[in-house]
Amino acid sequence: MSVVDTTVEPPSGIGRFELRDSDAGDLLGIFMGVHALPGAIMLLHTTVGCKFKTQLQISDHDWGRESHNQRLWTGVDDARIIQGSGRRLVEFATTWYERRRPELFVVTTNASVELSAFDVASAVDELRMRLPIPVLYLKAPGHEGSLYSGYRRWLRALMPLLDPADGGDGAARSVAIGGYMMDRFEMDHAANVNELRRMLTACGLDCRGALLDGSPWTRLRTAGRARNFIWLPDGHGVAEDAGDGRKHIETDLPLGLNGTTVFLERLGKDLGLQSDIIESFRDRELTRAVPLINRALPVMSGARVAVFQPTALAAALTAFLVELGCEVPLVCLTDATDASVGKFFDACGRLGTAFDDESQPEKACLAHRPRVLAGLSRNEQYLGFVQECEREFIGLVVGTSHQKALLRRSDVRVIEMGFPCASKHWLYPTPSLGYNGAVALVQRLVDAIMGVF
Amino acid sequence: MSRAPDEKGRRAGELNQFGCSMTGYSFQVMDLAGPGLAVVVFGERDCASAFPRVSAEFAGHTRWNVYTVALGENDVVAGLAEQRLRECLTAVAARMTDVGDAWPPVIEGHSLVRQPIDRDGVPVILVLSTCLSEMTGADPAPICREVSDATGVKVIPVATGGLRLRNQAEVVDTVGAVLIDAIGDRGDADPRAVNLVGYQTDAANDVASSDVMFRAEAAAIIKAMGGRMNSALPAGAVAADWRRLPLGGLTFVSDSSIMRQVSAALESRGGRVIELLQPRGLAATDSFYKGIAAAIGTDPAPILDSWPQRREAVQAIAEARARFAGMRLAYGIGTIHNFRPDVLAMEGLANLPFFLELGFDVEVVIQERDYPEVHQRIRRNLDALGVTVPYRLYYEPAVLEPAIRDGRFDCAYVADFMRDQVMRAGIPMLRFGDMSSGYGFAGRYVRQISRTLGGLFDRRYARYVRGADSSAEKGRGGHR
Repeated sequence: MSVVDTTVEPPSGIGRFELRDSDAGDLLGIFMGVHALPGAIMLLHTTVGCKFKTQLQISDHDWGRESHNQRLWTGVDDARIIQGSGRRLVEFATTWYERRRPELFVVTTNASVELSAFDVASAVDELRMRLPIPVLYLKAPGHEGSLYSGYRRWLRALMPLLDPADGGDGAARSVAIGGYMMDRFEMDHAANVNELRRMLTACGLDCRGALLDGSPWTRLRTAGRARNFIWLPDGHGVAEDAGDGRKHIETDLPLGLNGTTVFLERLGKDLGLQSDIIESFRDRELTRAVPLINRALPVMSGARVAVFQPTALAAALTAFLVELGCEVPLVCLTDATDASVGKFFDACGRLGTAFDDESQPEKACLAHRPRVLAGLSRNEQYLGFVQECEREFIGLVVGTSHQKALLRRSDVRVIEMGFPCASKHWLYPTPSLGYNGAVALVQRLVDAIMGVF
Repeated sequence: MSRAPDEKGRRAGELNQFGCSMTGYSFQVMDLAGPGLAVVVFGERDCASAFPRVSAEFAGHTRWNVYTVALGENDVVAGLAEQRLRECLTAVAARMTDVGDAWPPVIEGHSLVRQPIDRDGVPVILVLSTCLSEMTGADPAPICREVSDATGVKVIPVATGGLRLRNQAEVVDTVGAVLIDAIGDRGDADPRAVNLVGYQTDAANDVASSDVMFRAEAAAIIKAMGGRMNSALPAGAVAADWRRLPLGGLTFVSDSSIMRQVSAALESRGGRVIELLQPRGLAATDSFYKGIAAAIGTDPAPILDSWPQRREAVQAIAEARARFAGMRLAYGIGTIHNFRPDVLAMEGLANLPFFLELGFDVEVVIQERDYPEVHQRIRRNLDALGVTVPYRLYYEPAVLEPAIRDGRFDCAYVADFMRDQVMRAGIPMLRFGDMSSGYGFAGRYVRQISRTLGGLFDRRYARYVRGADSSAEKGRGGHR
């Protein structure tokens, strides 16, 4: 089956004008980070429509916390652009600092403001002198980036503001997690962060915090004291050339049984942990989890599952699904400009999943290689799905609310995961990461296959 | 920024949020996009993020016939914006005129169901400009003409950048006028064909519920009165509703101060346009249907008196009055930003008569600055609407809680995203816009209020939800 990698060249024809599942630029990613950091406020120094690119996108997704109070639009219009909007920004931010007393401001601008408002940078400098809190300035033109690159930029901007690494002897095993995509204040994230902490602690590590886990700034900044940072995929590249005296380790997602084991082994190797500690923990966890999952294997074996997720999550899910005996005929990588077929297969390889190769018949016993579409439009993704269904029906999708809405008249069961999830909300702590997350994911798969709620 | 007042002194939209025209257009036309109508956003890719995607009807379309020119930095710097627009429009027009093009099938159950493309009428592309295209002086009009001439597709540029603030009512009206001009059928208007413009005519989420929607009730009663429903829009409309709108000779609008261009367009084609307040609650619904009957020339009494849902509503409202009389209700306006004319109608106060009918002690709570000129504007608007209840202001969403506490309210009817503020104030919340129209929903909404204000869960556990300092029983309305 062919593999289409569109990351090298932009799609030609009408596809390049079609909408994707998400057309968000960096602005939404930055705002997602602000949303995950209570006490931070985004000063949206843009034209008015940009208001809708932020909070509106999250409001249906997050039942836990309303984010509208973390975004203040500075009221830029044509008159203010002509007159210069910097003065307005200073006055607005100063007034609202007194009203809200935030712990951190981030000024964001769009392309229209950047084209005209040459006084914004100096206004931000003035604010930095006037206000007793950090004031960040992140340009967010709508032609650049994505939800994911915006989130990374937010994390990169926060890093210098964290407490310095603890140089004490007792801090050698201290770690912080970076690149956790905290997109809502619901119990899936609480459970994931707890699961990560639990595993790290069991391996003898001292977890100082997670960027971002919903903690307020005063607590979050102490995560910087960790000597080691473990960067999940949504934070890859954030600490490149950091030169901050910390050790930075970039990993795949600890999702699924083998995915979690690979994660822990990687930490053990890079942090010099005793291998018997890792192995002992792994065996204890697998002894508990595997018999549970084993009961579900007959139901899942051969189930055809399509995955619509960003590259790193799609790879981790695919690796786990293959491990469970599912067939994954189609993977749509939805992270727009970040989507990469190469990175997908590389990650699958690291996570222990090898696919068949038509040129090597002797490897035909391996999992069938999925068709992978990277960064395509929503229309093209759907056509790809229809084509696969014409060959053989796909009964299960691990996607988002986009696939849930699109397939609502079909018998395809859609497991909502990632962003946006407007229908699936977590009131009970249910992880998707770690060994506990593996069992919970199997529970969701079984429920979906069996059509029960 | 708002238009001149109408003959009643109303300036629609003055008490509501201002917004981006491109966003307002998108909110209203995305659901209509299909084989005969495409939408092109002439801006950066992210501009196409400025409207809801997963909650709209649009989310279920098997092809999003909506496009972005996806302007990049180089396009702007090098002055290539118009060229990119031409490329985009050419590609979209080619798709819309390609007789071999197949609309993607719907997957129903296990089957792929092909959808025939209705090729009647000239395909239309709406081109929405954005801040960036306007800032750079890129003029879409010549490109639209050029592509239109070359392909036969009607390409309509609309100036919708967000640089000049417009109020939502203004945007709603402009969208309607553009659509009538772009796709409205021409021909003689049928004097008994009824249009409902600006009412809560949403389609049901599922087929099983379609019979109980206001749209269905109105159609049935209008038919019983000897008329026929021609179009109901914009809520729940498909492109065909807009197409046949001018053929309806009798149009009722929920707020004529909003629909001024639309009304003028319909009247210029021979139609009658009459303002009728939204049918929220029993008295307003009676009044609404009597107004329609009068225009059609029918006696409504035999029909309405025997309408089963009306009898149920009469009983439900009588019971509710006994229960809710005197309860303090905060009626919040000025926060919603969804470009729905039924929400904007009467400045968001369309539900007020129903709450008064139920006996609530209502005070309007408005998100506004406390300046003398603001009070003048509010008083002028409330007077024009005939609203006599008091009002109070709060300057931004984050400070609604103290306003509610100060007002000693028992419950709040506010936008959904104010939930955390209302919860902190320790009172239950009725979600703005949840109330629907017609007799069927009058009774149903009363039951919803009853469940919200003093359901078993609330009575047992309210203090755990709202914290120990809950003021759930501190409102002047007393114990629930």
